[in-house]
Amino acid sequence: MITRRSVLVGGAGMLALGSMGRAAFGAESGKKYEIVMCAKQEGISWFDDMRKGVEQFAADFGANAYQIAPESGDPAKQAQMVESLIAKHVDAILVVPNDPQSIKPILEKARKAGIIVISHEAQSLAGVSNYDVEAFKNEDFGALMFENLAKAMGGEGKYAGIVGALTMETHMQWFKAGLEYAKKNYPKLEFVLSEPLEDNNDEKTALDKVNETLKKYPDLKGFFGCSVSGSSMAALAVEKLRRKDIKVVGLGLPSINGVYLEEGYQAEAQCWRPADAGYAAAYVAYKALKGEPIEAGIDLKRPGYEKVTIENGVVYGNATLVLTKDNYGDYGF
Amino acid sequence: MKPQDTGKKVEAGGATQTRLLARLLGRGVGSQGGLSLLAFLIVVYVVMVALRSPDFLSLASLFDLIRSGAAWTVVALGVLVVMVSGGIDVSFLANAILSAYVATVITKWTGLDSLAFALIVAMTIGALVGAINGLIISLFSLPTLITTLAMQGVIQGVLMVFLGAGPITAGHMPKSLRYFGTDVLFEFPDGPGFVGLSVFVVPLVFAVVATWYLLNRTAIGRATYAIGSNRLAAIRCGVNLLKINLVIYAYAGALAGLMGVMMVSDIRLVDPVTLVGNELLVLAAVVIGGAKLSGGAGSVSGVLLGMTLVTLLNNTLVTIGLSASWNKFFIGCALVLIASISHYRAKMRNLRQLNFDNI
Amino acid sequence: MRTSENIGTHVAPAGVRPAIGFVGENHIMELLRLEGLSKRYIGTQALDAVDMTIEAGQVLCLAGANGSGKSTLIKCVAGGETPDSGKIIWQGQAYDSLTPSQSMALGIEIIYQDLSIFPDLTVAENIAFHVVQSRHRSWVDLREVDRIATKALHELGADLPLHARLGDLPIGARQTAAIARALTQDCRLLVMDEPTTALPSRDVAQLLSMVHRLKSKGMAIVFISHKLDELFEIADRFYVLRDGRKVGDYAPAELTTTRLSYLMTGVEFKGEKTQQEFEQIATPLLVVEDLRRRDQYHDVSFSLRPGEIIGFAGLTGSGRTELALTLFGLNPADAGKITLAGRPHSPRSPREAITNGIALVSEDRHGQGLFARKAIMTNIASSVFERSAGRFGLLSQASERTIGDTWIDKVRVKTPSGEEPVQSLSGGNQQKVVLAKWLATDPKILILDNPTVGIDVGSKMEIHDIVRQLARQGRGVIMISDDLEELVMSCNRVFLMQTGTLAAEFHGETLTVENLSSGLRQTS
Repeated sequence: MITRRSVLVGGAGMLALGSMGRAAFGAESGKKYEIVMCAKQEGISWFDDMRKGVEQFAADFGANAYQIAPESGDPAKQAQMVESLIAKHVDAILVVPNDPQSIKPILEKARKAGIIVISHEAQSLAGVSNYDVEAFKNEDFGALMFENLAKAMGGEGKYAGIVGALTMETHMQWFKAGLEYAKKNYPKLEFVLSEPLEDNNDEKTALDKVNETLKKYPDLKGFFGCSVSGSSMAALAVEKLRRKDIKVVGLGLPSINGVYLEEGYQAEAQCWRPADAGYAAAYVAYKALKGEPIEAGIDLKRPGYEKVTIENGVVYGNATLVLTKDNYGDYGF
Repeated sequence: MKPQDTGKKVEAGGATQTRLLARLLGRGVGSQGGLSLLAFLIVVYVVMVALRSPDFLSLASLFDLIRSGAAWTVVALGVLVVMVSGGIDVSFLANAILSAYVATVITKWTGLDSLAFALIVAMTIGALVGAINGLIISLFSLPTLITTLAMQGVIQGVLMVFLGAGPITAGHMPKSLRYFGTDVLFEFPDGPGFVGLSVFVVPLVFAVVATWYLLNRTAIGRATYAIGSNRLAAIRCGVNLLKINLVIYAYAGALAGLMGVMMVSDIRLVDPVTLVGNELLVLAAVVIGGAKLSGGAGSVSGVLLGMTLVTLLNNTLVTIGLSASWNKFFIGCALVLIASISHYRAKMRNLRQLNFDNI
Repeated sequence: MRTSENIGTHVAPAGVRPAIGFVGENHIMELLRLEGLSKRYIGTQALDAVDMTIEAGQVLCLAGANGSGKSTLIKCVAGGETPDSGKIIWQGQAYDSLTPSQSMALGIEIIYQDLSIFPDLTVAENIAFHVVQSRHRSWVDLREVDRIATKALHELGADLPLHARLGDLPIGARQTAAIARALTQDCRLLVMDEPTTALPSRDVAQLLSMVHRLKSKGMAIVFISHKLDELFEIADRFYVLRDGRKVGDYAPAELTTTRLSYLMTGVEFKGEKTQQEFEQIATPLLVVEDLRRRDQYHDVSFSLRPGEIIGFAGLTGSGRTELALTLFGLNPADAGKITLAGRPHSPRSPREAITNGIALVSEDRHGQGLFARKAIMTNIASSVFERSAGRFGLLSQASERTIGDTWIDKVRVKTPSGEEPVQSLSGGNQQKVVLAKWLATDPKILILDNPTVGIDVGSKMEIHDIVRQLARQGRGVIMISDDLEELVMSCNRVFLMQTGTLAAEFHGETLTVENLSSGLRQTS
């Protein structure tokens, strides 16, 4: 194990040297860096917004940065697209993987070919990619979600919540950190379930489960949703029951949860801005290509990414975006 | 042996025997027995839930059951018609979401923000897709499972590639569809909220009555049972398979379209990737309700009971405090139980006739 | 389905049409004439210039072994097949060929051996099916359905529960419904393809009386059966086909069963009563004492010695099949004693019975676990492999072939190769495969329940021959049959079973068809 790791580290060092050489060459000849974002899927507003960030970066830094994605969210198609980027020998690949496990060997191949690889929404790929860029630490995001919930509920009362699945690591990190935070800071809050509900990212399931829970606990005052389907369907269930007294918070998008924020069925929604994440990821790649140091405290020139922290190959911003009735209209994703 | 000698006596004996047998078995036979058992299971389960959570026995729970199960029941009725003919359809949910998606887009595009218009468009598209199923199955004598499985793939491909379909979110849905999912026929206050009967009960009743009439009171419906019961005999009797297949698959498609609109209105989201994957749940409910994969059997009341059981299992787990995975466990148990019992009944029937085929 | 012109004239849900009324006494009306009908399939001349005439009010028995062209002839008349040459003349109107709907519209109805009924529909719906489906309106009037069914059943003089699911009723009732359905179609000519094959003897009598009734109303009936004694009961005329050619047509008086067998097969069977040619060894293979099962049989005692063939005659329901099933472990007895080769035997499952050397070949070939689409040799070897699967684990193609070929040869299955699928064989040869499958397990006692039902004369004689050989090898055979001639020809002793007991035993001089038949008549 030890020897293997040291070999890996050594390899990475050599790769870094290699890419520095390329970077120097690129700078000398005045060639534009080709930095390509391979997103999860075409045609959905989240990644349309991310494209804006990547294109903004291209404009700001004069790089040839652009975004591609498979028509459907098909991991195999995405892997193919990354393969062709390797064949084309682009300078850097940014990737939001549909399936981190299956794309791993292809990213390794890209690294071997001397291409800078930056992943997003895939902490498990840190070490495989040069860096993984995240908008926030999951613990912070969860604590903030419960803070918002507690405030909306006036600091007391019963609440319940839903996650995608009890096996989804990210959702459970948010939930656990949030629950701990709430226990410490808002002792009058009471989580009525033994564990959160699961919606399996299916809206119908989420709607039925939330509805059943609201019926079983008529004195419920708050509800959180760690999935977009969970929070939006909780808001819809509240609307169907006309129970604005139940405060819903959770992960949400302006395009989906906006209606509920507008009409007051959801108090607040949290997310991060895909455009900024795309911009930040491209910037990290650019810095790596130029051979500039990537260390804690660097400024990636986007709100929330002004002073990033770095742990185990993951670059964390502090870029949680809280959507309310007043600001959701500013965003188009 | 001269028949004149014994004929009369034998004839009389035979007649009494068959009459007695018929009295024992009753009208409608076997399936009816299965249904009373299913009804019994439902009652037992409801009592169990009520013992853990007495509030469960309320009008609100009944109305929730109807709203939650209505769309599934509508599509299950279409599946029933296909299964009675001895076929199987797995494209119905893909068809439902395609129909609903296109109906939503057209409703937005034309600005005709009317529920009736959306329903007509969706049911027409559903029926057309269904008719294509029926046509392919009849013309090329293909297995129904393969044909509809292929159709499911084609529909998803069309949605993804040609329509480039991203989800249509609540904010972008036509108003008529948005409020179809929340409107109630009547309501009265209940604690901090209210209790209301969802308008979904209207399409539900429509589908129940139409399917019952189609299956029991039309020549095509009876021919559908005949085909499922004995395909070769039906062909010999001059039943027009093409016509019947076109009608039943188009009918199942139309109900899928109706279900699609109900579903997207219920969850206020038109997303091509929703729904598909739940086919087996619907098929399970239809089979629990007494339909046979080999065809010829199944009833509207069976589907209603089967769907009631499946929806109940789905919507009471939080109430009795179990995680979602139990749902599949219970449905699996119900399937095995129902299948075993119907097999046992058939075996006993055969034993009475000294037929030992299936022992 | 009818053409639209015909619907106009036949709207009334009628059974036998009024047209039949003008068939006066002694007035002979030719209904259908076939002239020089020929049909060739690749390799075989299925029909070779066949002529035939059927008159109204006549029962014509079409006799012929398998492959004689009977099925092809019927298909030509029913409209499923187009003859290569020849004419089909219906009431003076000549046709080169008929379509199925044309044939139906003319008033020709075929009742196939499988009856073509719908087990999941009610009796009434089955009977009224044609009428309902040929209507131009789309809805179904249930009262009308009942009316049509009641009327058709009345014409037949039969009574069935109209609203019972047909599949729940006994086979006889299903057959009655199938005939009643034919009557709703203004049927003038009814073709019945082996209608009695699957029928218990009680129902056969009822069927034959129905045929008489229809005949007396002026309907023409073509009757196909392998049970020659039945044919003699109802036939007005015999048409014998062999290898696609008409051998001749005969009045019943001109024929005997032996003569008919000869005409059908071209082979003279010595198969009258054979002498029992073996010694009776002292120790019986099987001793049954005071066996009883509630509501089925009681006080049953008999013994079976090596080399012996004993028969059981009796009506369905007399307890014979139930008794056989008990010996085979499917229907445990309530009391009594079974001793097998000196040791007590009370099998609780067929597996146990098979292990103890008992094999049961039951009446229903299709329920015998023949894999219709699998090769003959696979079918034969399957019973052996089942027993030794633990040791071999895998099936060896070579040993399968060896076992298959041996038995194909021993029981004389007519097939080009053991690799042909079972479904390609005629009924008689399929039955031989069933026999072979069981013989491959080397049973000491072989129970045969109606072993030759629905099998043509040639194969029947061969099967009898095989059974006799088996007995000669020292096995014991129990033969249950409705075919009295078969029992008399093959058995040493025949028990007459009546309401669950052994009412009489016939052997030696007393074992004659006449005695058995009069015994049976007393029973009923």
